[in-house]
Amino acid sequence: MPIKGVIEPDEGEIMDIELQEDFLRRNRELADEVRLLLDKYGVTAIDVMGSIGAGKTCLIEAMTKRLKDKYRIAMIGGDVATTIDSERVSKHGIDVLQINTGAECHLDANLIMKAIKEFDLENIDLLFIENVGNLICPADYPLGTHKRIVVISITEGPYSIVKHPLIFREASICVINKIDLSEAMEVDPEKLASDAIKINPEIIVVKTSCKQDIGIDELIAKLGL
Amino acid sequence: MHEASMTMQLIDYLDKVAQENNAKKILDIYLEVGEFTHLNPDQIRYLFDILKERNEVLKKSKLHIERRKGIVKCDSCGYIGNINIDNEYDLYLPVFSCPKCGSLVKVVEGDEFIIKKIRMIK
Repeated sequence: MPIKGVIEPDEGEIMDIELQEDFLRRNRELADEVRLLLDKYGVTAIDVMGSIGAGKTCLIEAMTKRLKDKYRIAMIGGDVATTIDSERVSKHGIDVLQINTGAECHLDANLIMKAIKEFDLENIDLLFIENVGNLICPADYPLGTHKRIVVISITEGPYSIVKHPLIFREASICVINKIDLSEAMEVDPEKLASDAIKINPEIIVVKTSCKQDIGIDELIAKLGL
Repeated sequence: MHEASMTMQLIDYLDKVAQENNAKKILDIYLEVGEFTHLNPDQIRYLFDILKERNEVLKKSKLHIERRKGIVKCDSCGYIGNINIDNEYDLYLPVFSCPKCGSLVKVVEGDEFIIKKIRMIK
């Protein structure tokens, strides 16, 4: 039966509308689509988050050196500006795409969806995504990757984890880099590790020194690579 | 931290809703912001009040923001409820282990930035 009609508010009448529109859910839904696309082509993606200067690029370089004969690797680099990091990694002979966010403090699933369409996914096994250096915003924006790791370093001091707890919630691995500087900085890596585990009881902590080549094999093993 | 881009996105969205509904003015906007997001209601309000000045539809509008408390669920023991806040440090330190059994919990609520309701004049 057709409806009787619609009663529209008069000119100047007040009207309420219920919306329930969640802006952050849109990103999560897009992240699910990214994951589906990656899975379709058998690409394993790792979101490398972490503070500025913690050693994200260095770790990606170190892992790439060890894994490039085993996997076909690609990288997406996220920064506000410049292609410095992407150029560093591309020297290892892998495909690299830079996303410059311009102003935004994180990568989001929409940017990743655009970026992965630029790659020939059939010819990639492993994709590193280096997020914008930031321990805050990337936590709100999952990208659809299979694993998220957070990199912090000893030189950021003893409280970098407890001051930014939410990013450790969803990460499966926490890398504490620059452990060779623990003594000089008087920062206890064990205390940092226990802070991470307190926030997320299942997080795996790997202590590394990228410069001294310590802990890289362990990180690769914990990533299941 | 990304309050600015979220607020700009919100304003674009409100413009669109006003247009679709032939509304002349938007009076009230009701938002809910999850406890586990990095979005600070005070900063959103501050930015909104600056940005709305240039917008005829939104000029007189008021933003009402409710902080939505986080709710987690434990797959191991079935616990559903709030999380513990650790007090070792003098700051807000949420702990995502189950208050009952210690396993990692899943977030059910607290990750949202929701536009719930809008009041407007036709």
